[in-house]
Formats: sequence, C-alpha cells, structure tokens
Amino acid sequence: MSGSEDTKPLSDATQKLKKTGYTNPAFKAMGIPTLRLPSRNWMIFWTVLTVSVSGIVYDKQQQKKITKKWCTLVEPLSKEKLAVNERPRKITVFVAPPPSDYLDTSMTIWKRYVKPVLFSSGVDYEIFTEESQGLIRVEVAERIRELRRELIKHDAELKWLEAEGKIWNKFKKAITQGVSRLRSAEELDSEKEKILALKYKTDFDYKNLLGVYRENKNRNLKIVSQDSLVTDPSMSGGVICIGRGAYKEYIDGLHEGFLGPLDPPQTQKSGATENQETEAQTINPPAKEQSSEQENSAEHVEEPGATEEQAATETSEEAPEKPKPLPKPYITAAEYASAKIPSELASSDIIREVESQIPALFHQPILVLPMPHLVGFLNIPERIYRFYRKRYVADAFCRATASCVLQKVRPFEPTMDLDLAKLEENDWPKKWVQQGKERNSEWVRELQGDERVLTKLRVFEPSMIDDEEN
Amino acid sequence: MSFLGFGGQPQLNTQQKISAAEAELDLVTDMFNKLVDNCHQKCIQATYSEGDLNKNESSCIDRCVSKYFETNVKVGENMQKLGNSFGGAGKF
Repeated sequence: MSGSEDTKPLSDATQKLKKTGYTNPAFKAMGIPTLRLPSRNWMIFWTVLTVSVSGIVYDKQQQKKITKKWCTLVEPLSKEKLAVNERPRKITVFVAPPPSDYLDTSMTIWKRYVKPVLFSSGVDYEIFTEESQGLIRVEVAERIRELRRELIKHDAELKWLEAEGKIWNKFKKAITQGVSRLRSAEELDSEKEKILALKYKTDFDYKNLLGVYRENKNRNLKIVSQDSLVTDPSMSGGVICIGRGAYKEYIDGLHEGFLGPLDPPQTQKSGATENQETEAQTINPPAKEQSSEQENSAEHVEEPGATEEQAATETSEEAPEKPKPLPKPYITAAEYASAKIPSELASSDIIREVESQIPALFHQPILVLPMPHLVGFLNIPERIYRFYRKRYVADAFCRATASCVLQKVRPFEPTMDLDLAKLEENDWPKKWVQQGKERNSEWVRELQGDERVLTKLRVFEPSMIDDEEN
Repeated sequence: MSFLGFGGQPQLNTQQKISAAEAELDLVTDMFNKLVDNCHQKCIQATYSEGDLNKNESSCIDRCVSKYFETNVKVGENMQKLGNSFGGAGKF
C-alpha cells in the first residue's frame, strides 16, 4: 500500500492512525485486509487523474450526443422522395486552413461536426479546400467570370439564331418551291429515302438497343437539379465557409468576379512591385515555405523590368516543385466603387447558370463558421479550458449547419455581416498577422464590400432555429 | 507478318477480333454487375418499404457509382502499367 509501511521508525500516533480503518470478522476470515484511505499524496494523484480523464470522457460523450441530436433533427429531410432524374440540393463548402497551421485542423471540424449533419440530411455537397492563401478567391472569381462568359455567349447565340431563323425560312420556302417545280416524283422519292437514312443514322442511339435503357421508361427524362426547380434563389444550394479567412476570400472573390473585368488587366507597374504582390498572395499559412519565397523575391527585385509572365516562368525554373504563383486579383477593393456592374449581370431577375439553370453562386445563401483555433505556448491555459468545453463548440457548429440545411435565411446586412466570425481573428497569432500585413495578405486586410453586390447576398442565421422543435 | 518471331502485333483475323470483343463485353458486363451489386448492398435498405428512392439513397448511389468507376479506372491503369513493365523487362 502506501510508503509509510516501509519506514521503520514509526511513532505511536501513526501506528494508531494506521490501525483505523474499516474491517469486520467476516472480511478477516476471507483474508480481506483492513480497508483504509490511501495517503494524502495518493489521494491527490487519484483525484486529479479521475477529474481530468472523466472531464475528457464526459466532453466526448456530450459531443457525440449533440451531433446525434442534430443529425436526427434533420434526418426527416433525407427520407423525402427523389425522382430518378433529379439531383438533390447541393451545398458548396470552402475550407481554409487556420493561420500557421495545416488544413487537417479545419478538416477535422468539417469531418466531426459539419459533414455528419449534411450527410444525414441527404443534401449533396461539394468541398473545395485550399493549401495556400488566395485559392478560394481565385476559384470563386473564376466561377463567376465563367458564368458571365457563358451568359454573353448564350445571348449572342440567341440573337444569331433569331437572325438565322428568319433568313433560313425565306431560303427554304424559295428552294422547296423551285425544287417541286423542277423535279419529277421519282427523284423526289429517292431523295426522301436518302434523307430518311441520314436521319436514322443521326438519331441512332445505343440507348434504344441496350436492355438497361430500352426497357426503362425513364430513359428520356432530362436530369435536373432540385436547385434549379425552386423559384426563390435563396432556397437553392448554399455556401459554407469554414473559417474567417475562407469567408474573406469568398467575399473578395465574389466582388472580383462581379465587378472585375473578364480578362486579366494589363499591368503598368514596374516588375519589382508586382513580384512583391504575387509573392504576398502565395503566402502559405504554414510558415515553412516563407524563407524560400523570400529568397526568390530577392532575386526578382534585381531585375525590375521583368514582366509578370517572365517572373512566373523564372520561378518555375528555379523551383520546379513550387506551384506557379496565383493570378493577381483583377480588381482591388479601392476600385469597387468606380466599377460598373456588367450588363450580363445587371438584370434584376435571378441569374442562372446557362445549362443547369441553377441560380448563380452569389444568389445562394452563405453560412460562416468561425474556427476556434489557438496556438502558442503562453496560451496553454486557455487552450486547456477550451479543450474541456468542446461540446459547446460542437453544438454551435451543428446548429449552424442545421440552419443551413433547414434553410433559415435572412438578407445580408452590409454593415454587420461583413464582420461575421470576426471574433476568430482574436485567435490569430500576432506574429503571423504582422507578417501578413507586411506582405499585404488579404486575410489581415479589413474586409471591404460594395453595396451593389452585398445587397444581392443572403446569409443563414443559426439563431433562427427554434429550440422548441428539438 | 511475323517472321521468326519479330513482327510486333500479329494480324488479327475476324474470328479473333470477335472473341476479343466478346471478352471485352464480358469484362464490362461483369464490372457493371458487380457495381450494381455492391452499391445496392451499400445504399438500399433491404426492407423495401417504399417504391421510390429517397434522397439519402440516391446521393449514396451517386457517390458509390462514381467512386467505383474511379477506382476501377485507376486499378486498370496501374495493371496496364504493370503489364507493360513486365512485357518490356523480359519475358518469362
């Protein structure tokens, strides 16, 4: 038992103390020794151990319970029927790594709290992750630009078809009249046969022969997405940004795609500043690559006349393992006010993708999930505190995701909602923020938006979920 | 024409072509059947309480099929690479 047994010189008092304890003749007969409290030190040890371990276990259990609760809350949605030619609602998820850490940290949050709720509600999701800053912005901007290009093309095609149709009708009339006068009936028959043969060949489809399709009465149904069927665009799709950084990049990307030009602007600045800026955009949240980037930039500054493309090729030659630098934003926040809304997006109707008819990304509501993530040695007490209270974080995440699934939507308020998840910025390491400011990183810049774009947006509001219904 | 074993690919006659096509069709059909089996087992409740698919099942099937195809293509590519490297390295 305790160490006091081994020590020889025992005082009477301790001997007496040792005697106290609980026993009875039956226990003695069975050979059970006297039941006694362990010594003070052992008591402290066991108490601390049990409290800390049971804290963790309790927290984990509660997390599981909470996730399960929200999953069962949204589960009825997944039991709804879906026609064979329909695709379920699709949610786009953008995940950014926390500052000076790796993507895994944010993916854990996604896997533990967000994905289970989405999965059990039966919505489809598409996930876009980034390893370095700026990828989300580029992706979002490119999607919107692509949409604009398609809209322009579609408009042009429509006009062309109209014009073509008029001409073709006249032409056809003239020709048929001429032909019927000139040709005999026999010739016409052979011509007809040829046309029929051609038609058969062009219409030929294996679907009409293969058993799986031939007997299938649904084979001619066109596949439609449920998102394209709703009239209110705020009830279609949805965007989830995990982390304040992802949200900032998403908003920047929206503005860039919306107000910026379709093609990369011609640069007039000198090469040196460009290099600095491209470098600023390729900052990785993990700090390990920064030293090599600094070296590269130092080399570039020596040749200020170099254009951006040259710089890009040079970097790829020098360090082939490095991905090529991200394109600069086509428009800066200062230019938002002077930029015009492009004509293809100017209409007040809902703008839909040309082929799938899904409302464009900026019509879909946004959900921002703040990512609590603290690093550093001095923060250890705070980190321990948070570690034992993860269930509250889990609840917040699950509730927010459920609000996205259950479509609790409200309009975007430009004055307030740019600061969504802003509290997370208090967790960001000071050193990293400082470095970001020097490099002109978009994460540490004040988030700016344009009224015209922001009023089109919508957000999911977690507090709109009634606790009564749970 | 192969002459003393150097001739590259031997010319296939019609019979061989047909048997090759049959083998390929067998392969594809086999894969398709396996895919249907697996995804059915994974995604669809065996109680068959209703005739239509629900959302969960249909998105499960979507994912299952796309994963199956992707894996199949990847495995196929690798096997081909393996076969090529054996063929090039020396025949047994």
